[in-house]
Amino acid sequence: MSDSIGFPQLNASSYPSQLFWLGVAFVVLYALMSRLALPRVTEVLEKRNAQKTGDLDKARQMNEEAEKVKITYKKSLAKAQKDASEVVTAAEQAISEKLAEAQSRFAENSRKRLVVIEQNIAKAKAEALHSLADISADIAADMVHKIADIQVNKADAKRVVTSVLQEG
Amino acid sequence: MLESPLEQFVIKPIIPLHLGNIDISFSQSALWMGISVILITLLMTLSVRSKALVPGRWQNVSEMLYEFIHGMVSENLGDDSKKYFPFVFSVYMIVLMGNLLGMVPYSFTYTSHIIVTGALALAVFTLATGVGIVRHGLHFFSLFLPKGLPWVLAPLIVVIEVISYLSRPISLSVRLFANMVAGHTMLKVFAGFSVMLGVMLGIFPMVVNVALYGLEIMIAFIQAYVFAILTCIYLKDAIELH
Repeated sequence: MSDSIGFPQLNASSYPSQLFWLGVAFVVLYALMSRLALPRVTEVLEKRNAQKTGDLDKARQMNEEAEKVKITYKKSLAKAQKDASEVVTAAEQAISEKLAEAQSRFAENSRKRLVVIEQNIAKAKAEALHSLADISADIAADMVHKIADIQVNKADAKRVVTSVLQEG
Repeated sequence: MLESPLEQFVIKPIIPLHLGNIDISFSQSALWMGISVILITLLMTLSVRSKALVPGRWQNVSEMLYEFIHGMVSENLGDDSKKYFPFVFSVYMIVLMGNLLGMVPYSFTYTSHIIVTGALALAVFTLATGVGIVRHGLHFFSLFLPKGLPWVLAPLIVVIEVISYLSRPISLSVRLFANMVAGHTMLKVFAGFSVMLGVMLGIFPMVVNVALYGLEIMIAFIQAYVFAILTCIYLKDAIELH
């Protein structure tokens, strides 16, 4: 047989059977692919796509939520900072007010006391001067009495001494 | 006695069958077509049985084949891709599986027969032309008259266009058939050298054969791809008319 096969592809007697079985095979394959196999693969791919899209959407949503939370957090942080600075400012003001008040009270008291002390000093000085005049007059009268043996009226002596003191 | 390298292409009936006077015997060609259909169906169904979100090895193969052809079809046919996708996919798979199964020793390569590739090409051609005529009616024949053509040139160009259009199924079928025949004949010839040269020297043609085997597997994919992409392009031409 191998001597006379020629080119087997050109042996037309085999054509009908090849065409027939190719037709059967192709029609069966087409039916199986279009009805059975390909829809299943489509389903799997679509399921995966849906899952992917869903996951991405969820991620986007969560991202948005996180962004919102961040904004809220920033807002509350800013508010807290503002509140804190207000409290601090108020406290500072209160403290400085109290301080000023205390200082002015202290200054007032000091001034009052100073006045009183000055008055006391003046009084003491006046008293001292007064008693000095008395003592001086007594001493002067005694001296005049002892030296010149003249009885001097105490009031006169005092008048003289006082005038001398005032001149001095 | 060595067989002729062409002996592998002889159609050998397994179950003699007759339909009236016509011989439709179930041959080894038909057997391998059946095996092909069964393997394709098993691959495309069992692998996605679990419908896993994260595909396993076989599911990945199915999805890759699906997305490869789906991408090709939707790129060329746009909105109509859904209708033609199963057809192009079936054409691609039956050609690819025929080419690949042909690489199994002692198997039969049904795509090495011009009548098979011719029938497939004619089916593609008929479908494309039918779609064109159904969609565009007589306007379909403007396909042969490119726009903006000077009228003096029209008779010449129309003749050329008609001839080129009619030669599409011929080039489509001959390309695949010739590749398969050449590849398998060459493998057989080198294998014959190995047998003739004996164990010691026979190793050299065998090494060549191993390389050729790899090349042939590549060609199996490329020719199936070419067949499918040309199917898409012919359908696109019929739908869009340039």
